[in-house]
Amino acid sequence: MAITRRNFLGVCALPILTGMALPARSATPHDDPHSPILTVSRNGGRLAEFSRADLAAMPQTRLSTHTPWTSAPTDYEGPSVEVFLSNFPGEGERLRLLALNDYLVTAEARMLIEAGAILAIKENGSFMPAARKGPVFLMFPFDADPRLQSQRYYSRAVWQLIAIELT
Amino acid sequence: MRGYSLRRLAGAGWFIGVLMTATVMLGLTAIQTSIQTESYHRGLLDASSHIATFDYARAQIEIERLARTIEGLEAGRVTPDQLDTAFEVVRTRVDAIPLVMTGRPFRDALVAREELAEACDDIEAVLPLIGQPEIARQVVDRLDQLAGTFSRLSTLSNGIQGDLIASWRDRLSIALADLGFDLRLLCGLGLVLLVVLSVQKLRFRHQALTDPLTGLPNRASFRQWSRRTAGKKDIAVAVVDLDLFKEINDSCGHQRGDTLLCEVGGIFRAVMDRRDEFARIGGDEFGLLFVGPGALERAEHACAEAARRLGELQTICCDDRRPTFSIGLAASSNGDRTLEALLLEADAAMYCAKSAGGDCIVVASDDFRNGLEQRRLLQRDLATAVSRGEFETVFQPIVEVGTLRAHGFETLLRWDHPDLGRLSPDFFIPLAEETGAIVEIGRFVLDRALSVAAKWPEPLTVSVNVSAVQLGDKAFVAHVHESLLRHDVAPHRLILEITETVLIRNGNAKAVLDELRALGVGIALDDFGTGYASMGYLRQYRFDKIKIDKSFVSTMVDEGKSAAIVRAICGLARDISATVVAEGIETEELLSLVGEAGCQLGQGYLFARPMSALQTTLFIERNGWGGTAAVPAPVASIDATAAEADYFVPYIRSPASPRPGTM
Repeated sequence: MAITRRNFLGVCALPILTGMALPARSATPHDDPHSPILTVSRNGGRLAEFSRADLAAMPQTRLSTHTPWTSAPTDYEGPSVEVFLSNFPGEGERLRLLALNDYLVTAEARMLIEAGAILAIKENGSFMPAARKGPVFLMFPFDADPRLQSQRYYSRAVWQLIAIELT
Repeated sequence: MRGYSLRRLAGAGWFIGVLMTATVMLGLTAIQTSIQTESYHRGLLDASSHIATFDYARAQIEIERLARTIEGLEAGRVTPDQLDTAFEVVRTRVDAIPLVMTGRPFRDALVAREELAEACDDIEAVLPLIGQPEIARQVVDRLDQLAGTFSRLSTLSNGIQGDLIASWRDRLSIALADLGFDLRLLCGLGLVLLVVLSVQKLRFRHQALTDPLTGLPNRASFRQWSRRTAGKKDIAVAVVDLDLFKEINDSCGHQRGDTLLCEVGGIFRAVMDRRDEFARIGGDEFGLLFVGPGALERAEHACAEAARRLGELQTICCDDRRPTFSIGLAASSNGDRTLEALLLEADAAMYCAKSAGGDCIVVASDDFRNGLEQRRLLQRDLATAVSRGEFETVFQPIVEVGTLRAHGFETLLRWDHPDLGRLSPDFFIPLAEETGAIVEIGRFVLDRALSVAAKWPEPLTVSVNVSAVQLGDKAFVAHVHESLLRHDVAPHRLILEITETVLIRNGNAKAVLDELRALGVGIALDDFGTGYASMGYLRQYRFDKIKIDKSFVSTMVDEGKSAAIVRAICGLARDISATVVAEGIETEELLSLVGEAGCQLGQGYLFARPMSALQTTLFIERNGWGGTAAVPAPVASIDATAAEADYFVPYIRSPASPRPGTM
């Protein structure tokens, strides 16, 4: 039986009509500015955890670019990968980037830094909620360099980034 | 055969034109193909830069995971936070669904996204009630349906994007193949062009170095011989001149002359060794070069053989004279002389052979070279002899045969060379003619002759010899006129003596003689009877005096024939109103014979040897002069003190003395 929007709404509206109050939905842990949202580990050992506020406290980099997922140029803001990784000294490190949806991709730290990637936490001036690619979106200035407009970089533009493992 | 046809093609303008056009067109095609290649490459890059299929497949997984999470919550395996996370993942996906495929909106993706967005809105609204099994089931069912939609979308896009990439790849492959083909063809054409141009260059080079008439190497090729002789010790050079070539051209036509040259070319090809060189270096002149051991012997052999073969040719000039070679040979066996020097020597030797009558080989020996060197030095000295006052004029009287009174004097020139002593004009005049110094010398003589004659009694004449080179001097007539005025001598007292050779060597002689005659100057034909066609000249020109050569006069005593000739000449002269002067009268017997024959004037040692200007006055006083009543003194009392017996003549095989010159 195909589920249409109408009968789906019909079923779901039943409790409302019966006068049951909907419980207030609290913000999810990912949208709480102070709860840890980004974990950094090395060889399985956890090094640090960052909340959105921690990231916002770092020097911010701002860039405006087209992306394959937006139709208009969009402003992104957040600490640059270079600034962020300076908290974890080490040379030529290879990163494993993990997203909320289990999207895992490896990347050379140098490649991200040279491309000018940032850990965007704001989109068009507002913090990105977890339901809108937030709270951390690894973003490249695609418009600044045509070489970035390839699968190599698109695949490293990880949204809902939750963990960085240094290897 | 192939080389031959390529050489022929290389000469054809159309072939090179076609090659050039093909190259240009192919180049343009290659440029166009390369532009296409770039565009296909870009298309391929664009098509493969973002794989939409991956996003659709991820969406499917995320949606299914949200459904399983809702089921897990019902079963108590999942916390509400995990449900929130799963929903956030799906909600995020709504904004990350690729909506464009191959540059155009992808309708299926648009619909699927719309469905997902609506589902997310609806689910978000009922999320607080998800604990109710009915609602949870509805939501799960809807999510499973959506997952199916995205599963189909991913396979669909996989097909489309695969096709797109394949099509770009195919076009790119074809374009690359075209480009490769064009490039190879261009290289091939370039190679052909290179070969053609090289062949053409070789051909032009060959043409530039070949004489078109005989096919022999030409003068330009001859100039490159020095490369072959560099560092070689044994070198022999021959310069070969074809005698009578001008005559053959003139009398038999140039075609005959050209044929003869080709035949001569054939002779050289036949007699020359492969390692030796030969070239046509002038109109009828050929150069031969022999390098390596035995060069001189080979040269002599080849020259003799060539002369022999030329004699065998059935080439006869119209007047029965056969062409012959005048050959000059010069060789060096120890590398002490350069090719240039050898060529000069061979050339001089050739002229020597030619002036000896042709049909002979003259080898430039050490004596020959010494002679050449001496000539060179003498010619150098001649240039300054006038200014250094080394010339002296002497005068030999011309007397009236009947009365023995002076009629006039012939001016003769002596050169007192500081090292060699007194030199004969027969020897140095040809040298002066070669360098052109004769013009200045001639002016000196004319000046001296007139200055002396001005002091003589009025009717006495003064004769001055004129050479061919002087007669060719444009300013000659003007200078004679100016000199006569300067010395205040009546023009009719000046007699210019010219030989037949002078007339032969001057095409313009008649005009010059007419101008001189217009001035009033007398003209005498000198050395009459020794030249070629005396009668013709007598008819062609007007002469006031005819001087019979002493070779006739001196033999009058012994040969009746000479006497008859002299008589005939005197008769002839009378008829054309000319006076006859008999030269070389040395005895009384001759004097009476000459008188009987009808000569009015005579010249010779019997009367006087050449004397100084001062002595002429004495002679005139002693002998009297024509038109006066003075009785001449006895002829026996000739003052011989002025007669310097013999002149020093250095041993020189004069390379170019076609005739003894006197002045």
